[in-house]
Amino acid sequence: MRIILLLFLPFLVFSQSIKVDEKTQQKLGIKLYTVKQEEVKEKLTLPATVSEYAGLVAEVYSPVSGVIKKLYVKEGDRVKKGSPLALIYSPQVADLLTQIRNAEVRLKTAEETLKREEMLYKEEVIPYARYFSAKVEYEKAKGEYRALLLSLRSFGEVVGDSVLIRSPINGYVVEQKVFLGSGVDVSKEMFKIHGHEKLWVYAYALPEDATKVKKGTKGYVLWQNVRVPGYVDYISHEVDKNTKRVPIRLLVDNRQDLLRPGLMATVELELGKVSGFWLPAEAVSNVKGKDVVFVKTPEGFSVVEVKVLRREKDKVLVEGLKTGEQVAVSGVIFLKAQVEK
Amino acid sequence: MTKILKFRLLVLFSLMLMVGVGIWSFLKLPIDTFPDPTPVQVVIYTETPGLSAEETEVLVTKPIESVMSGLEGVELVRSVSLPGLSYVTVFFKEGTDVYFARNLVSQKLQEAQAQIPPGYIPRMGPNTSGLGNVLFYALVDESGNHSLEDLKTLQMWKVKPLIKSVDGVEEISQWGPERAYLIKLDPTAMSLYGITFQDVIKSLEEYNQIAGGGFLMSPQGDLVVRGLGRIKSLEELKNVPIKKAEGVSVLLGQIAQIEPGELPNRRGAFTLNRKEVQGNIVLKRINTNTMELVSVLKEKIKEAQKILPEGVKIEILYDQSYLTERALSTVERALLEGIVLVSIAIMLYLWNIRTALLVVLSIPFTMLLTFILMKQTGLSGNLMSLGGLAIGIGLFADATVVVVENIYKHLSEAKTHNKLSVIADAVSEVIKPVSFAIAVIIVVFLPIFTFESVEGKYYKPLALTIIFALLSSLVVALFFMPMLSYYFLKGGKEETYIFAKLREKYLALLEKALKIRPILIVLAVVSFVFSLFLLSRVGTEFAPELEEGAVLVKSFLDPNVSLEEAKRVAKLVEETALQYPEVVRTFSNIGRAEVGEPEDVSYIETFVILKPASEWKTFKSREEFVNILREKLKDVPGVEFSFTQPIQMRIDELISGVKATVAIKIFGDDLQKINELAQQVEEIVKSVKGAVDVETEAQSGKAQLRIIPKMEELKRYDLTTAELMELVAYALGGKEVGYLQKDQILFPIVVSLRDKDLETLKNLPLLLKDGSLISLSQVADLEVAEGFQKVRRENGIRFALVQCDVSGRDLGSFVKELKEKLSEEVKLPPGYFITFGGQFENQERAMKRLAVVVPIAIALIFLLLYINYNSVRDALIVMLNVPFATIGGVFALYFSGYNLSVPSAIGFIAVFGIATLNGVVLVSYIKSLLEDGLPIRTAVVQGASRRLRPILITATATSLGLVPMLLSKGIGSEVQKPLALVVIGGIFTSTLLTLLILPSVYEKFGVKMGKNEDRR
Repeated sequence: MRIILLLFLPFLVFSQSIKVDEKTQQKLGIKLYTVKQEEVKEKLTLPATVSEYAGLVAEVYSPVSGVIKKLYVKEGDRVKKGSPLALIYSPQVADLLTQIRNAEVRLKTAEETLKREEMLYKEEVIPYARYFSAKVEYEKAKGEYRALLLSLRSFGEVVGDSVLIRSPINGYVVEQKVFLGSGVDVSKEMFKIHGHEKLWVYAYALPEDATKVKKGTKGYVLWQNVRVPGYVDYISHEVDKNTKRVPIRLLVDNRQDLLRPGLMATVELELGKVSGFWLPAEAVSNVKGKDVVFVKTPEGFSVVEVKVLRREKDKVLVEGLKTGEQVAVSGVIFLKAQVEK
Repeated sequence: MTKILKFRLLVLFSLMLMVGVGIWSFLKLPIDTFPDPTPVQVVIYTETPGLSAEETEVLVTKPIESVMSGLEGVELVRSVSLPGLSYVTVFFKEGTDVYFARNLVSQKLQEAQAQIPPGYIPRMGPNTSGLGNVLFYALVDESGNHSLEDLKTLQMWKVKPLIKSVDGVEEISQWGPERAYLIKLDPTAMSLYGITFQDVIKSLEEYNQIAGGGFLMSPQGDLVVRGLGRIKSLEELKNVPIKKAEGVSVLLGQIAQIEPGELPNRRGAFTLNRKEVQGNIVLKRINTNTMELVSVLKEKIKEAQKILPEGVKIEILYDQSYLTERALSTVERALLEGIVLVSIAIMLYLWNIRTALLVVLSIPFTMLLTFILMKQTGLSGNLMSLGGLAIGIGLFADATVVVVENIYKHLSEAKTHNKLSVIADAVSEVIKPVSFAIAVIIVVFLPIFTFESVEGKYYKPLALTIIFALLSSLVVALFFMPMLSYYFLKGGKEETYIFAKLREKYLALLEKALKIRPILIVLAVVSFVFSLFLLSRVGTEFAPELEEGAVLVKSFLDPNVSLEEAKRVAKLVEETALQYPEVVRTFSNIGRAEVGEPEDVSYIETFVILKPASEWKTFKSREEFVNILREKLKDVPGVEFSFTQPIQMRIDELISGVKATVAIKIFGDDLQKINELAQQVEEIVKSVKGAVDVETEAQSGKAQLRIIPKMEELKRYDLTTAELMELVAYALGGKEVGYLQKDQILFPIVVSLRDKDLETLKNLPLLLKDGSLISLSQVADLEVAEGFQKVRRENGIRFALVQCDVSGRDLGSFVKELKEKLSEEVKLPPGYFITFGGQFENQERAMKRLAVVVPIAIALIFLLLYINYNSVRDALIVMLNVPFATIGGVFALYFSGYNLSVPSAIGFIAVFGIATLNGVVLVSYIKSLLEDGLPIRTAVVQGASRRLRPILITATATSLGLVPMLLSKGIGSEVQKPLALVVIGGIFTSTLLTLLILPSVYEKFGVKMGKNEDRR
């Protein structure tokens, strides 16, 4: 008797329909969901931190040693490329300027000497050797002068006996290490300027998830209501010691200035697309070891077995339904209990 | 006797005193619905948050059971283990003092504590009884400004202290969400900041401290030093620093969402007329008088209402006193009507206003004296004890009738004018027979005192009151009545015209009866045999259901339903019931309140309170209403319903630990196996006619999330299981980590997770020794599997449970059929067995006891008769009344459709006594006539004729006294009806047969006396 019953059990269970009238259905909070075949992007959601893009970081050093005479910016200011940052009085420059002036004088003298010697030579008053030496002298003075000018130009923009420092990039002054009167030299960093048009975002994936990600994979950085696009440009070959996860770096476009370095954000990577019937996870119940959903019929519900292809956080991808069918997605427990009775 | 008359003024004075004390006793008599059938029991519950049913059983329930079962006087240990709760009930021997029992248990609790894992603390349950749920009330918000949490806070901190201060309130079980501050941690953020749960908990503990600094003498005076480090607001909570990293603190607000909410892991809710409210149940301390308690409680609730903010109302939903009031008014009415009816009958018979007045007066005197006795012995006035009075009204007048009538007779015939000596003679003449008669009836009630358990608790008070009343009636008749007669009675004509006519008719009838003696005797024998046959056809039950005027709908849901879903079912049931105008209100309790009760959200009790029966239109009886509801709810999928009454359910639960009439327990070791067997049993039960609301308790099928450590991985990361389990306990178990103080109220702070889905759990961060973090899934497997919802045990053996109610059929035959079917169809493996419990258990035990007790009662009657007559033959002839009475009793039962129950059996016992008295009166008189030398035929006829009036008076008075109870439709009358019915039926036939057959039987078989006389 029992064996026969067991044999019929599958039929008994799965050909079963459950009578529920509309009112009861409503009162029990059984809500319906119309199924349709849909393409769903497979996503990987990861914790992430935002950091600077190394390509857009500028540290400003003084090319000369000297003293800050004027500061045009302070920490936190936004600067454009070429905006003045500071004016540095440098004895070096003053010295150079003197030298230049001297060289200029020397050059003028040499030039005049050359002119006179040339005239004298042409009138054959003096020998060529003398003229030649004057010419050499002149060339030398000119070279010296030019060299000095070049040397001055190498200090950058020189205003009077000071050097004007300008920002090399668009960005923010994130660090200011000098103040009015600070002494500077080439080894002293004065400012750090960050450009935020582009940022790097480090997402941390479990090692097994990291293998699914490729260079160039598209993704979004989510923070509050912001959604900033980007792509993977680097996948670390090492597992991060602290988090035991693999850092994945995304390069994101931040021209709208929505993100800032140091933020804790979430990264959503698009891994591909899957097509099928996606149902809310609650719709699928396990009855006697089989996955079933409850499909609405005029009298109530019928029990339909489905094949679960994939499970995600709150969704299940199934096979075995038809587009347009309505399945129960809440209060399913009542239907399940009824079937199991 | 002459002394009583000599000091008659003193007697009169003592009568007045008795009346006064009697009235006072009556007014002060503690009042209850019916005797509390709660056995002596102590409940031990242990909350085991986070443990599954199986673990609770092994780790907590088992050790407690084994410790407790060794206690002195323990009869039974029953337990239920649920996820998060262990519930052990220890039953003590009847008569053990409950405080002594609690003392024993509390001593052993220490020992039990040592055997269970630390952190789980076994506690004794409230010292209440099964009928302890005396009053239900709810806090209702009418303004829309107060959330359920607010209401609960008001209840906990304002209303509860007031109500608990009432003497007799043991506990208040409170429902609804409790306000708590939730710290919903974001594991992602935590892992990036390198913060663990331990960090959070440590910080919360360290940044939330207060201290007392004693006193400080200062120029400002003597100062109390207080360290105030208690967190007082949400803002403060958000700014609790968790970890200093590179000089900057990470604040709690940065890694968690913090908000006020409800304490997690709530396993219950209370709804009223479709809406969730904050409901409460007041539990009374055992042996507290319900009526008094409820009236004090009502006062206190009015007081509490005053301190509540505007818009919040306390609504009283249900109190047990209404039932008491209705039941008592039923009994009181029956008593009054009985007195009136009996008085009228006596007046008609005696036809002498003075005599009748004295007899009628004897009834209230008897009662007052009884009340004094009840008050002194601590017997409470309830349906059973007062019912006993209502039943016995007619009997109580009996002694006085005999005494007063004899005085009257002697006064009428008196030749001397010494009234005093006439009365004294008259009374002395009847002292012996009257005392003997009373003794007989008392003796028949004695065996009832051997009853045990529930039936003992119910019917002992009834028997005791009757005995008290009978003794009182004897005192009244012999002590007060002679004195009153002295003042009131005068001689006169002895008999009325009407009665003379009646006697004439009777004598003619007796003449005929004597002629056809053999036929009559055969007829009597045949009808006795026939009545025995009918008796076998009468159904059996324990006791008729007491109508409570309320319906209780029990809903059994799938073990995996959520509280929200359960609330919807409760709403549905309430809506269905509220469609009927007869329904006053509905309310439900879902699952359990915070004080341990072994239920989960998959169980709902819905109370449907009905208007008085006289206002019912849509349906005529409760049964009809229940059938309507059952039909309406039939199609709700996934829910099983069962119907009963609030108090009945509690009593059922008390008796068998199960809330249904019939409980089938399948015992065995393997949980899976016993549950499979239970399924099989359920099918069989369903196939038995009369089974309704059949339900196999869902013990299995509870989905669990199992977190199983991977030992290899743990080793590699140098983690211990304890660390892992701590994480589970804090992140999921909802442990309290401190309090947030607002005004004088402390709200718990609870750590939880922002999202509680499987994915998040897998990624929970764990701190390693080297300061780095890993996620939970790396060291543990997380899987969803099915486990157990409930593990029940009795005396250490697990059992599965099938329960059902019986409708349209008597319990006895139902269980008999079921037992036969079960033994045929279910094959039990060795070590497995089935037992039956519920109401049925009582019935079986009571019936077994009755099978011994009734013969003993009969034997006692015989013994007394033998002592009286010193003749087996005479005693046997008088005993003929037993079969005579049986005939009427059985016929009455059979044709009225009542079942043979404990009250009807007691009816039989009573009627045997009363009927025998009829015979005694007759036979004694005939004997005395024979002694006077009259020939047998004359003696028989004359005796019958002379004794016609007393016999009729007793019979009529006794029957009439019962009529009001029989006809009453009031609440409580249903319990007494079978008793009344049997007595009336029995008295009718026994009187008839005493008057017609007994004389002829005596003539034939009792002739020895005549021969003796010849010899003399």
